[in-house]
Amino acid sequence: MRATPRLLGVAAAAVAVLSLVACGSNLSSGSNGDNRSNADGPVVLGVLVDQTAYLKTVDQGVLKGINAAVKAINDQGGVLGGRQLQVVSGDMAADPQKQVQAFQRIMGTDKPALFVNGFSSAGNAAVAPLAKSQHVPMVVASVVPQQDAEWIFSTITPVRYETGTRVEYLQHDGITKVGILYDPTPYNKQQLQVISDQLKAAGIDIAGAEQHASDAVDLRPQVSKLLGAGAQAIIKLSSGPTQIVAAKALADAGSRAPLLIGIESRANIVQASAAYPHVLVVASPLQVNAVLKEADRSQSVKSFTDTNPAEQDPTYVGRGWDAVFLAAAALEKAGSTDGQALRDALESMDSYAGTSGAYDYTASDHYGITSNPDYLAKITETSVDIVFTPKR
Amino acid sequence: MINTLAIGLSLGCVYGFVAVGFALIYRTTGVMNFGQGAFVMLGGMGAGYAGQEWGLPLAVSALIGVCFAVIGGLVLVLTVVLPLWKRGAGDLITMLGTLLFLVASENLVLNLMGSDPRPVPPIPPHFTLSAAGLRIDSQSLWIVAAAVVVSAGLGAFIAKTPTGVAMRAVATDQNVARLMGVNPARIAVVVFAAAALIGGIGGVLVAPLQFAAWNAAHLYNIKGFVAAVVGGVLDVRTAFLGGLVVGVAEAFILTYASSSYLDVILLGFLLLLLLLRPGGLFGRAVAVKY
Repeated sequence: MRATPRLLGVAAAAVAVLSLVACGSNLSSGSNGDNRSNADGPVVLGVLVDQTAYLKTVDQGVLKGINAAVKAINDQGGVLGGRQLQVVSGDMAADPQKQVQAFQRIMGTDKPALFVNGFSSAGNAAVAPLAKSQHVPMVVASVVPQQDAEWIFSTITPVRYETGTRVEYLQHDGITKVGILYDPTPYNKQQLQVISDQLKAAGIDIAGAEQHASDAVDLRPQVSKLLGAGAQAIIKLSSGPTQIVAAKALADAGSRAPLLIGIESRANIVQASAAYPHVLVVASPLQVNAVLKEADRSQSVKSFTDTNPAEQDPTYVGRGWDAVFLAAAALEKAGSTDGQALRDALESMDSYAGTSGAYDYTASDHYGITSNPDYLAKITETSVDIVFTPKR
Repeated sequence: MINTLAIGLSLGCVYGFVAVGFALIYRTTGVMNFGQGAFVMLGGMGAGYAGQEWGLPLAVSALIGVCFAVIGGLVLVLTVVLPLWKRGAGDLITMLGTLLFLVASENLVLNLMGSDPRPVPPIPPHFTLSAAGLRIDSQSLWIVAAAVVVSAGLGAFIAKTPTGVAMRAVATDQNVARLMGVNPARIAVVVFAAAALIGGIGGVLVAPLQFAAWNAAHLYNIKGFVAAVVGGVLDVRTAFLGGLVVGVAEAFILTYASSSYLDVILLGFLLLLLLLRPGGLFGRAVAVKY
């Protein structure tokens, strides 16, 4: 029996070691030391994405796009006169604290030229001060944080377009009162502020704005409350599997009110649409590519689909793809891997036509997209229909 | 208001289902099993995965989901609980072991079945009862019926049968129970398998109303645990009632108070109730093993 505490101690140590290992970074193709200063070695791109938690679905797409773009660029000779791009990824597990830890670990071991991050607005906000203090630019698939944003560049459609597409549709459809569902992430709070102003300007009343946890499994009380307050449509700002939960709640309430969701993964859209037939989704050009007229298909979308012909859920893959091509363009413009030079290059380089829109970053605009590229669509397992096209 | 009550009761049945599993294991083995939510998740994800990936009909995929949960229960008791007992680990260490099982099972399901939520169809015929503005989904009726039958049946089984007495003896004192001819290990295996079975059935029944996802285990766990404590963790029937209290309170807070401060208000309210009734609303005055 004397061995028991020792055994438990060993077990606890093993758990601690395994936890540390599980939190570790993944090196795609080997790396050591300071790659920023090694003029002949690979140019390292740090990648902080969720590989194990609720954002995994979307961040997997981002990572897939990053790897596809890195391969495409390396196949064409790399950057800076022949240097290969190399991805070093860390799992941030949808946890800002883990994103900070992964950032510090990768900075400490691989010294990447840039970071290309995933969808977590909270995670990217958490590392923004570190990016600023350590002079490393980040191209992210989330909103630009409100503080310490100087080194963060976004590949997402600006909030005003993702929300505005829905507000324009509501106006077009004659809807005068809406309910809003949101979760407490920075992205959602920013969206809530923007859409509240847009709805007010459009003369549409807000029946209520109800918050829910990002991993909620039942939204019937919130939906029932909003419908009871006279909402003729529900705008859902939050993303992830809660789209399905909201759709089921509306179906359960016997409602026919449209559920307007934002940019979302295909898996969640299809399940939400199967649960409730009145789901409308803000869709990127890639998501409605199959039904776009030839004249409306951009060259970058064509290139992406030629390179990734079997991609079933291209939205987030496209964001990762765009981020790497933006990073590569910045590296060429800067002519080095120096952080300050790369940041300046991102702000001053020519417009880059990506899969999600045309990016033209400036010192005051780290979204770069200045024309609404999105559509409002009805997407099911077997069909894609564009329901509404907002003003460009 | 009646609609809010109906939603709350439906939510409460889900929490009650998990709470029954908590109470069953605690009442009969003295282990606070924080892996209970994993059984619900395994049931839902197993059924959803089998239906979606293998194209199996609901009855078969549901059976597979329940089997996943039971296997999970057996893995937990045989590889975590019993070895810890054998080495004389205390209640706290055993509880930690069950919590680690929950985390491990979520991670395993994430990597084996993917991060996408899995759809589970409702039990046919699917219909909605509608009267005077009140709507009740047929799946909710299945959940209520199953929860009532399970909690009442288990309560009677534990209170009235020789096996139930043996279970309680193990919970009171394993050494004394052993002297009385009861094998605590065997009882533990039976109890964990039964609790996993209940959790698995709950997961299959709940998924059509919500969804099955790898990360839902801890949510069910938290609300189910709170429900069990609020109702009284020493009795499966009162634990189920605790689920109803938590579910109804949640629905009313969301509808008439604030969705932003749901957890603060809900847990504050429940804490207040427990200060007034420390043994649980419907339980005994002193929350100790016996």
